[in-house]
Amino acid sequence: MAYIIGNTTVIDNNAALGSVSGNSLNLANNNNLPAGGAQAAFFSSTTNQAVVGENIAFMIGVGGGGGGGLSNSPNSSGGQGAAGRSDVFVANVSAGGNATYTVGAGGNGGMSNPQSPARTGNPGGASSFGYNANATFNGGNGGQQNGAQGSTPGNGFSNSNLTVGPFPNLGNGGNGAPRNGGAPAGSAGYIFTIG
Amino acid sequence: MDKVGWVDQLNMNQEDALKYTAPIFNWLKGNLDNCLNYQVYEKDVQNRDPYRNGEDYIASWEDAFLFQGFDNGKYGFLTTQIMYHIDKYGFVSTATYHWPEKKNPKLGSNEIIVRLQYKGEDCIGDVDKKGEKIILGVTEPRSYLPNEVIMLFDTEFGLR
Repeated sequence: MAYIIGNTTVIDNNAALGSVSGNSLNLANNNNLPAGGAQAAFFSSTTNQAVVGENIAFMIGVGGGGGGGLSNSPNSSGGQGAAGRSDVFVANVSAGGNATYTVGAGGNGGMSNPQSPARTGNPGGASSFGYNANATFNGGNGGQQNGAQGSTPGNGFSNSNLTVGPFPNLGNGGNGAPRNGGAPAGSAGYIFTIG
Repeated sequence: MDKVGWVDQLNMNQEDALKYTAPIFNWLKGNLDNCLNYQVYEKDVQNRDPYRNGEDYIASWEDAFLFQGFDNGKYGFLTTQIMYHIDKYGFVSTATYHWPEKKNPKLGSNEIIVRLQYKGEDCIGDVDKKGEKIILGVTEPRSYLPNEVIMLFDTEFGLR
């Protein structure tokens, strides 16, 4: 009951897939990653958890992309969902203790209803990392029904315990679609920590 | 927020830390996106995946170098698994999802390793051990990878 390469199991069961440190994603022992004494952990907006681990060192978060908007016309497409906010930062973990994570999903695209005026997509969810400090990388907003693209929220960091560097918005949004099409959802958001 | 401060953990200033972390970020993001694209973490996908619920899917590490590998990419997230296993020894691997220009849908749909470096030295050249030109994604990797690398793969994963 596994994915086996040669005679080595690389994914063995459902339980192994919530974490980077298991045999599913062997990041913890990767020589190419900076060491920092943190536990490796991975969460996405579909595998969200509230409180995990300690000694966070190096973190990357990407908010989920917004869903594509669904047009009220069969001849034109709704707006593209916006990218989620992404950032990477290093946290001072000398005090030890626990951190809290939340990963916001992208907002849904504007709803399909031919009779209604253009609708705005729903806002993306809020992501956050809390460890004597707060950081957010919110999900992208959904595309609008009238073809307007969703917007990416600004980043929001606070507290001097973090050093923050913004990166391009990489949580891809879904493409818009005509009335008779199916507008896809944006990509999932995620956050992970490395040490 | 410390915009211009010193990053103790990396022992460098903010600007240098960003330059240092950017390639790591992009490399990790590519790997994670590949898993996310295959919905590896989705609960409902996990629950209906036969290979995580009683059956075995058996492949070889060579599949990670072949466009037709892993059932023509149906299980292309396993390429990322191969990369994690080899990179822990100091290799730096790059896949088609990092480098989309290297994809070739006419030859197959699998995500493949297109560059493998060790201490800055490329393990994949232009020709194989017989001097014949490599067609990336088609040529059997045992014919062009250095023997030491093949031995490491075989040792890490074992033979089918």
